[in-house]
Amino acid sequence: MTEKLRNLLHDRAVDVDFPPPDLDLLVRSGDRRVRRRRGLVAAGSLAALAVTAAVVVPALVSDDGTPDPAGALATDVLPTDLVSWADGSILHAGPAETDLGETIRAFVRTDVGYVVADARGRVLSVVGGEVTEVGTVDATDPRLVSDHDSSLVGWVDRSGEQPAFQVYDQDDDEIVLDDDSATRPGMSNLADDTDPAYFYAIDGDTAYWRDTRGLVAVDVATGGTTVVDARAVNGFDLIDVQAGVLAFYGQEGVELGETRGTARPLPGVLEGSGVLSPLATSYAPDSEWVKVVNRDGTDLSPSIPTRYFFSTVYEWVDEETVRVIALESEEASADLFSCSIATSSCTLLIDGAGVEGELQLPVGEVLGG
Amino acid sequence: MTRRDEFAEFVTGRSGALHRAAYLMVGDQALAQDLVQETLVKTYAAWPRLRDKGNAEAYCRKAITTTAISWFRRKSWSHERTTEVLPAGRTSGHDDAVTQSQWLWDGLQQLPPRQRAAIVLRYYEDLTEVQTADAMGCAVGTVKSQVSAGIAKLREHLGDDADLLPLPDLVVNR
Repeated sequence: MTEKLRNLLHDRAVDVDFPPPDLDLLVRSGDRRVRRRRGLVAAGSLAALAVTAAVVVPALVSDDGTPDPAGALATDVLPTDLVSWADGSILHAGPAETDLGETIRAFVRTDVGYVVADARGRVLSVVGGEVTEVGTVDATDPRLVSDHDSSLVGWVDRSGEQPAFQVYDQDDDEIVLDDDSATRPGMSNLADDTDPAYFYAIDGDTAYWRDTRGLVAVDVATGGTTVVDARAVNGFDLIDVQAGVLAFYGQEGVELGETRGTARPLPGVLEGSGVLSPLATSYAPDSEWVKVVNRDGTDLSPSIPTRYFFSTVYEWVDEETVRVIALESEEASADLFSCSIATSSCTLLIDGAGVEGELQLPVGEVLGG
Repeated sequence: MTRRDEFAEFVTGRSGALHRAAYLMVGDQALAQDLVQETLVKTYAAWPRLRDKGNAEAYCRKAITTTAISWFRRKSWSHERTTEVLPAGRTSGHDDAVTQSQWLWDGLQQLPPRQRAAIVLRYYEDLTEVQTADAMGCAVGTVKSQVSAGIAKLREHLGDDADLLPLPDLVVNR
């Protein structure tokens, strides 16, 4: 009887002819998907940027949906507990903003301020109205990593003969780790390059990067190093780390665990990038439509209005709240939402934060890069 | 061999099989093409991360299955609403193979997407329960229950022709 069912299914399937897929279209779409995932937003037409000169004053509300008290725009003291974004050379945080005088390529938030990579490859620390140059990164494809509740920021310095992993403590205003002991000249920069020197993440006092030993965990205080995965070949092998839980990218999707050997697949999650919640109870992949799952695969995705063609989580505020970027079209100015996992509801925080090419979010990489 | 060359070789060799499996899951030729295209784009984007390129087909199968299920949830592009109890099938015997095939097809398309995917993976792709669970991103026990429930509904739908199908409690466990 089983054979009859099999035969019927096979007969039905072979009755239909399918044209061969358009390989060029697949490759173009796949390359575009990589760019989109690398920076969260779609690579839109650059020509569209020429018509976006109108100044937009964003409407601000806090993550709980209540209006923020009117703050002085153009203040240079930036709060760290409100939604933040960069548009051109201006860094916004809630109602405050500061003009850094140079295009902001990427930035991250710490518990004391912001760290920015600008178009000249400078790493700038922004704390309480003071801007200090603290390092250098690749000007074209900068990458900064930070943790939710610490003052540490990491990057790869490429000013020397060989790449060096640096960790900066913004609270103490000093480089606390500078390590080129396992890099070699010529190691590449991007996640999908072969043999990159790549800074994956910082979790608490532990930095995770890839050097000639593979994926290593380095105690920032002592420099003590543990090889987590000697087979890590590029920047995709480790996606994120929170609360000691590592999100690996395995053969068939995301795997979570405290070690490579104990990591287990996150059911149904194939996207190769995303963000763990602060306590690692949930994961938000960089999908085409906002998606949140808990560790057993249960769908916790909040509801974004259907007028958007693209939306994805870019930041966890706490265990129950995410921030989401949403686009109505590839050329549109991005809207930023705060979404509650508990209620599945979303509140518009910023209506029109910026367009692709000028907007940056606190993810440490260039959007659409 | 470049990334594109490797991918082209994979697409040329496997796209036919992927299309057929997708067609059984969604029941519509155009949708199956969309599903396979979406899956192949995902696969190309993931290509650098697939350390063992021999696993690309498993990756694709998983992507087809989970994408099909999520499309049904999000877009409800099935015009035929899935039901807990399928409409009654024929009550008198027919041995017309074409008619049997059509009735089975109709019944399959009316199953909830997870039951349909489980049956296609088990009886068309000939996967083990473990492999099916992996492709669906669920537990082996869920595969057993989805297959069993799906087969039971198909038997109800087929009426007297139910001997085309395995009994739910005789579903092969591998």
